[in-house]
Amino acid sequence: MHIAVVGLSHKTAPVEIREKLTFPAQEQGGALRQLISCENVAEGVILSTCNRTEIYAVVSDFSKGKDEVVNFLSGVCALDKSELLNYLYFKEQENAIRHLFKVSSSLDSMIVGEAQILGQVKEAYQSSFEVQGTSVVLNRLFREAISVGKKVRTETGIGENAVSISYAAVQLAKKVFEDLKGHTVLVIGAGEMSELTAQHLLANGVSAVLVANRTHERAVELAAKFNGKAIKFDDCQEFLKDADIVISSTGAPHYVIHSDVVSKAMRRRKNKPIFFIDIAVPRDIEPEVGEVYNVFLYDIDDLQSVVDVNLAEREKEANKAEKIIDKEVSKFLSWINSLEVVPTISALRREVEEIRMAEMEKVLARLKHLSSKDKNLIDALTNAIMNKVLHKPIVGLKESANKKDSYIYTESLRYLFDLSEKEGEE
Amino acid sequence: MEKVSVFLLWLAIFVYAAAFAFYASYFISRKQITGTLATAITVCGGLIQTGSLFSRWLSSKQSLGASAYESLVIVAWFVIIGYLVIEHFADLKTLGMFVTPLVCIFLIKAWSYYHPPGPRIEVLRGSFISAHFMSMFVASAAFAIAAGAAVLYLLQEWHFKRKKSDSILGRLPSLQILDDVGHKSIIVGFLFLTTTLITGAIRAYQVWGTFFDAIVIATFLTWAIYAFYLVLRVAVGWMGRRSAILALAGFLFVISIRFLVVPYMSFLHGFKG
Repeated sequence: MHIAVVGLSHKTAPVEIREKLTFPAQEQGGALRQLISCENVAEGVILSTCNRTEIYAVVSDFSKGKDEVVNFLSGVCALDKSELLNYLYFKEQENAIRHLFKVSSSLDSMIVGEAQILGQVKEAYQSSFEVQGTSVVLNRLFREAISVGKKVRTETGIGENAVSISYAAVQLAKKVFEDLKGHTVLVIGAGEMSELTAQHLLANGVSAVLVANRTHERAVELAAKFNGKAIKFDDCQEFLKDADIVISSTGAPHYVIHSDVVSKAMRRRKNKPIFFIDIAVPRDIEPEVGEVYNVFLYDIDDLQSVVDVNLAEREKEANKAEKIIDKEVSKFLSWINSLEVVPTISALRREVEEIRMAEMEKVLARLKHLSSKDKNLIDALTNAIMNKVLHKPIVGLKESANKKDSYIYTESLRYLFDLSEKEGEE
Repeated sequence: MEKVSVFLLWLAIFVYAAAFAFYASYFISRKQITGTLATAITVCGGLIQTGSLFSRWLSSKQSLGASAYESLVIVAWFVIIGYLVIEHFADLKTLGMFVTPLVCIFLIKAWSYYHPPGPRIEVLRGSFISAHFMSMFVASAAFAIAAGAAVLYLLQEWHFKRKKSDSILGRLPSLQILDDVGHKSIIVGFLFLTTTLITGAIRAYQVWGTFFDAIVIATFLTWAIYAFYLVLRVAVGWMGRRSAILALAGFLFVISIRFLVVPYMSFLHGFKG
């Protein structure tokens, strides 16, 4: 029995390939059934996100199972098998387990530490579970992966700091304002970047949005999107007194906001702090603005340096996460190994033999008058009973070893006889 | 009973020191559990210190606060209570990192003035005079908290203006909440300081026929600083850095009144302790 991963991700395949190999939610059930019906595949889960498509499978033979999965995939995406192979990666057993744990902890993501992937892993597992695509092994593996993902998120700071310019702006705004609720943001220049930043700010509670743009129509358009108010571009200095956060990204070749204007606005708003975010190049806001009392100014380079620092921080946290994952992988491996037939049989024999020896000792202690020949007879008798009782289950187990889901029997046997996992390692 | 009080006092000092260690470690590690423990330990410290004050009260059979030892202990107690109230409303565990060592220093300093409970001198008897110094204790505690918030504000502003997020200072609370906590503490402190001034003046006039004394002048100056703080804030919007500096200046006055004016310069407060 082997756990296998066959898949491709942003690391191995360009988007033109990734977009061909996707599994929309409504088709997943059918695809899963098709996958499970493969001769060597006992269980399967399809994880399909925009950056990766992966098949997690329990196969009885790694190379045969791998081939079946590749055939299945090439059938889905209508790509030639030989071409598809250029983009696929294959991982087996320990590597497969580690891979899934890394995926669910977002260590394998395009943006390390992003929060979405954990939910996607959960969904992928759920939809396979619903069509009975999973059983003993993948059930345990995915539940474990989800809890590892959670653990990494809570025990490391991997998702803590902003790693995009627009999100860094939000994080910084929260250093000035405790709560963005009740604050107003003024967007000057309705570009894509300022739109994204404003969107983040809104999602974090900002109550009012003012938009100013050289072409007024665009301002109106954007304002409508945010439920905000469009103002005339020439009036935006006037509105500084109402704005707590100003995002500027015009294409102007010169400064749009000067410090004397800001000083005046600050007097009118009684020094309530303003946070200026200048994401334009060339800059829109005169650097001296940052020296006005209670005014804070970050330009694009400042934001970038915040992002860089945060990225480095994530790297560090990722190392911590790797350690957590290593531990969980070895725990899981020892359980997996216990599902093999041979160690299960020896564990069963050992368990029963221990019981026999203990009982023999007790009884012989009371039968001191017996000759050693009689004692040997009793020994032989109990031994014979034990072997007879164990004979059928052991033969059954050995026969099942050739079936693709043999581990269901070993797992039940271990459960019924309470055989611990450790013995399986030996 | 007095022995119990002393024992609990020292226990409280150690518990506050432990709370400080937890607040600091929470600041560095950001582990939720450490933060929760820090607060829990501070609450324990507060309860223990309450026990200490209570047993002192039992053994001295009079209301507390009329000596150097008792006054500092009570100020420390108000600081802790005030801090816990703030923490209940705002996530400001960083402030705990400043408040707990401050309280330890207060208590250890108080110990250097320790005296067994005894009857008060005549001038200090009566509930009117108790109101006088109790309001001073509340005011001092409020100003201490405001000063702590001001220090954090200045640190955070300096760090934010440096535009680097690489240092651990980035974890300080937002400027707005620090400013707000400072402001509200000062409003509370100011009200109680006003009460202190009025009751003190009345009592001094009753007893000595005058209230013209170094301590009255110094306290009035302190009162003026905080009045200035509040007025400027409303009138011209002196919030942020300038008001943080004023809050620190005010607290410097409070400290110097206690440790310079009272023991060396004041005639009216020249009774022992």
